Amino acid sequence: MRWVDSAGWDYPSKMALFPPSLRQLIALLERLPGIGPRSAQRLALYLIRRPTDEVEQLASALIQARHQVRLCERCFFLSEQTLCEICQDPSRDANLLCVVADARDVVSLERLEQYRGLYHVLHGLISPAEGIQPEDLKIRALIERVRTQPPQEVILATPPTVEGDATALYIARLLKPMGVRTTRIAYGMPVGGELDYADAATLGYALSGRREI
Amino acid sequence: MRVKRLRLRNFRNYAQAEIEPCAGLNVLVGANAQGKTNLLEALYYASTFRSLRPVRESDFVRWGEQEAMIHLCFLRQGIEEELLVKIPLNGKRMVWLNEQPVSRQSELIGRLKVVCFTAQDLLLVRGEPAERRRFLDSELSLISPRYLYSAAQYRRCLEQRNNLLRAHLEGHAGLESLPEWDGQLVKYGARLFAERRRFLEQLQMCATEVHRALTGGKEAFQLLYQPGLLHRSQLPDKEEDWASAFQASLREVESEEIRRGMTLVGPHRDDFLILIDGHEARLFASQGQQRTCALSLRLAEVPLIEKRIEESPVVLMDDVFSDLDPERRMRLMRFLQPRTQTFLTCTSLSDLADLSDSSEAAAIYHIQKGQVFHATH
Ligand SMILES: Nc1ncnc2c1ncn2[C@@H]1O[C@H](COP(=O)(O)OP(=O)(O)OP(=O)(O)O)[C@@H](O)[C@H]1O
Ligand SMILES: [Mg+2]
Ligand SMILES: [Zn+2]
Repeated sequence: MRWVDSAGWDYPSKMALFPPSLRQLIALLERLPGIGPRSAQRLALYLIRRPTDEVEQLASALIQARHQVRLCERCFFLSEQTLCEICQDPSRDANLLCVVADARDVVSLERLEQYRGLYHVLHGLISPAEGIQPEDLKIRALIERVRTQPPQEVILATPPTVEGDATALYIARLLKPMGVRTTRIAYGMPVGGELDYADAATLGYALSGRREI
Repeated sequence: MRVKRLRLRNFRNYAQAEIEPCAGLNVLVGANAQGKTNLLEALYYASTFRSLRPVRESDFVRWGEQEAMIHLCFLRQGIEEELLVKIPLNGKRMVWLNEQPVSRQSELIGRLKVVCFTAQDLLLVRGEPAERRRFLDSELSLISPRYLYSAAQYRRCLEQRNNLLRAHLEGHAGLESLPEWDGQLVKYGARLFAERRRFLEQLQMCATEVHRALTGGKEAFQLLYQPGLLHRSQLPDKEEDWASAFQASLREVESEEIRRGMTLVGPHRDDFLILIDGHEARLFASQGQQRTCALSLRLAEVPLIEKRIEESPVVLMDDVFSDLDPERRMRLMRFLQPRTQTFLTCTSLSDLADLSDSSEAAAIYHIQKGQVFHATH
């Protein structure tokens, strides 16, 4: 039996030696984002050596999360109820609506403990290169939301990338005829990064230094 | 600025080599494939942290060895600095500047300033517009961080816009977000237009000065910016005016862009013409004239750098003499000497026969199979 093929790639032939259930686990792990064949193998071999109750806990946590977590009907943040905790909180200022690309951005902004308004999660940015058009995002729902419950200000907090800017400008154009004040958070330097990774100080500055667009 | 000492270990075909070049002309002479260009490459790399050839850094490591090393002492503003670069076969390169480890590329690039001419530069004159745009981009990126940033943003916008137009053509997307892509394309594009125009003006001044020196004032040299717009004769000054010119061109070609599914105007369609006595060098100039034009463009960096840092860069010239007649060779040497420290490769000392009196300080190094032999004369 040859373990190393002509290209020096020893993985496929070794893989064939694993029992079927392990092979299936590896194949499933491989589909996760950022996990390649080698890490999938490593994770699988690690998991099957853990105590049974720990693995069962992991499995049930996966199933629970999958079944219980859904999108908030109003803001599309993650929630286990129809409305998320933020939307249910009566102390939040309904006159401020902050539009972000991703659910992780809500968490970053909440960590600042500076913003007290509501959110709207788009679940992506306009990016034709990745086949993402405006209708693939929660933009229509945002416009509808602003029409039915108009806030005093919509803050566009998409990242300072060309996609983030295009998305913010697109939304601003749709909001314009509705007469609601629309602002864009200010980034001091062109960082080209994601909101999620911006450090807290930069983010706080960006939020307080927002400008009309 | 000048190199005081260069030591190589396991770099390309050098097992070990050391030279202490003179302040003037340093001639590297040897048959083909002995290591002349490799030595220039080491200097070029220590300045730009890029290679002269399209290779990976690990290709620098001498075959069969584990790690290449470049050790360089040079004078910058009269102060001696030391640069040590280690490039392992596997893993990341490490750099020490004056014995301190430095990992940020931006602190390393251009510490030693070099201007490097290779046969590749002929493509500036003979090649496609893309070659000249690449030249503009690399020159401007070194001077202006804002340009570097805007160029990256422009490229991304262009990619997005082209994808949108193509998806629309193929029937799986509407054009709802087109105005936003247009807006950003114009915003970043206008910056590129304005900066390129301003740079070409400076470049033309400096290249003209060089060209005059190389030809003894016999040829009139001129650069003509050709922006990638519908009306190429308009060359506004201000960024806002570039933005409105770009916007106007976009509006004019819009229906054709939609029909063809691609962006037809913008700085990605820029070019500049090189004219000698009013005729395009690409089409009409002789080989020697084309080489002289390429030299004028490249060596224009010498006065450009001098204006910026008030010090002359080190000049590297690979195989520069072919196609040049004895008079132009001599004029080239007179332009470079004693202004700059120069490293020049040639295959035979007879290439230098007519120049023996023209350079005061000169050192000759014979390069043989990756070894350097210093010949004083
Ligand atoms: N990593 C390496 N290890 C060992 N030798 C190498 C390595 N990379 C390149 N070489 C060899 O170095 C030799 C010299 O190359 P170089 O380009 O410096 O020659 P040259 O003296 O400029 O010749 P020419 O006059 O033909 O331009 C080449 O023959 C090449 O095979
Ligand atoms: Mg060579
Ligand atoms: Zn909610």
